[in-house]
Amino acid sequence: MVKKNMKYSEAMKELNNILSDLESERIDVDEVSLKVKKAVELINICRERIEKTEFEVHKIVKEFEKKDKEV
Amino acid sequence: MSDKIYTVLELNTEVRELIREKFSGYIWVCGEIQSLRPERSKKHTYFELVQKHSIQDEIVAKVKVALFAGRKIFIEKRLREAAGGFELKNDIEVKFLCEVSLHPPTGQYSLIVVDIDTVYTLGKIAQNRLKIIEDLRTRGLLERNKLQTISDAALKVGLITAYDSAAYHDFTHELKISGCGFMVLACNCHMQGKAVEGDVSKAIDVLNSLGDNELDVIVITRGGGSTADLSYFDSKAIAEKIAGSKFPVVSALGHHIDTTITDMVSHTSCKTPTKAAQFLVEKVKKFLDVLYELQQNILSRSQELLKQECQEVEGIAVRIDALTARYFRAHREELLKARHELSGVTGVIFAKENQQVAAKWMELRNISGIIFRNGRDNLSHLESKVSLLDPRNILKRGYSMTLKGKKAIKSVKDVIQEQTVKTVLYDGNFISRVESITKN
Repeated sequence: MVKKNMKYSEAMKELNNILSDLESERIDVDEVSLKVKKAVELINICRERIEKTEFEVHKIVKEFEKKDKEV
Repeated sequence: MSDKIYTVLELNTEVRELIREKFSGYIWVCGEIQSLRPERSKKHTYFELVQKHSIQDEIVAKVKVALFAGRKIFIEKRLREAAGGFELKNDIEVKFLCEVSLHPPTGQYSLIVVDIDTVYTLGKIAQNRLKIIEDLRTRGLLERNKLQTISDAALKVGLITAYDSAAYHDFTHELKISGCGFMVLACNCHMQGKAVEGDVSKAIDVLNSLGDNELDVIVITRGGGSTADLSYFDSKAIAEKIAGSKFPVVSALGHHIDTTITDMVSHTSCKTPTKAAQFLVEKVKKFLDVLYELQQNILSRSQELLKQECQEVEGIAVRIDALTARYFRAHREELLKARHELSGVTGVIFAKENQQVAAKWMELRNISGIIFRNGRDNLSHLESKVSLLDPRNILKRGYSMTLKGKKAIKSVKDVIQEQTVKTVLYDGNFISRVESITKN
């Protein structure tokens, strides 16, 4: 299972590792589906993290612009 | 020498005859009355006539005098006609018309008064009085008490009078109703009769023993009463005490015509006790009036001064106000100008900075957008990569996977004929047996 609170950079690093594993033919067939599953999970985590961060940044920007207008 | 032997009575009787022979009529005798006891109850009056040394006050001779009831009334009438309420008393020099007599049983020789020379007697009294006045004048005592000053607020009064007399009540009543804060120290004295001189002199002494601040004035007063005793206040002793007093003396001896020596030496002489009290009260009231006037003057003057000062201060305040207003107006304009200039400059600076900040801001927003877009793109790329690598998707495209047990068969070397293998397809799997092997 993938840790939910792992850092984005760690998730990307692991994702890239999985991809290079999948791209190399060293990987065992049995592991493929597990790796793919993990990669998808990691992608989802990263996407969520991007969404969340973007939302937060958007919120900060809105607040800042609101305050700036008041000034 | 006669051979006759006299009995005492015979002798006394004979001497009386001789005296009568010698002084067949009446004779005039002058001298000073002494030992006269004014006992009105007795019909006859007995006293002595004395002759004193012309310089020293010593008696050089004396004789008994009898004034029988009938004559007494006559003489008193004569005296009344001659001078008001004058009456016989000790220490006065008189001139009597007498009969010289001797009382055989006692052998006592005496004078029997028949008449009086009123002109001589009164003259002598007046002369004696003048002598005292002259003596006082020579010694500078007549005016001495007048040199004292009666305080404007003479509230502490030493009162010499007979306690509880009409004079005492009149005097204190008048002070009381004045409403001023008088304090009276009363010395009880005989104000008639022989004791006057001693009592009053002693009272003056007693009051003079007080401290300078304990008393303001001495008042010697007596009511109307008989004017007969007035001459007791022609006393030299009292006059000397008044002259020597450190407090001013006010006399009020209740008579309207005559002036006694006491009156003459006193600082001020009033007619009655009431008048003496009024004199003091008026003085105090006058002083209070002066004080009131002063107070009013001070008040009005201070109000005037205050008003002036107020006006001055107000004037200054108005000037300060105007000046400060002018100052601030000038400075406000300067400030406004400076502010304007400053806002111009800062406006430029801030506009510039704002532009920069806005640019940075846009940059930041763009960058963050780019970052997120890139992140997403990257992820999409990775996702498609994963999707490409997902064996299921490969299988979907028509590829299959053959397993020996659980292991994928990647080479023909891994199988032998007749071997059973499992082939995995997109939607399931099947088991098959290897019939032939061909190597590429």
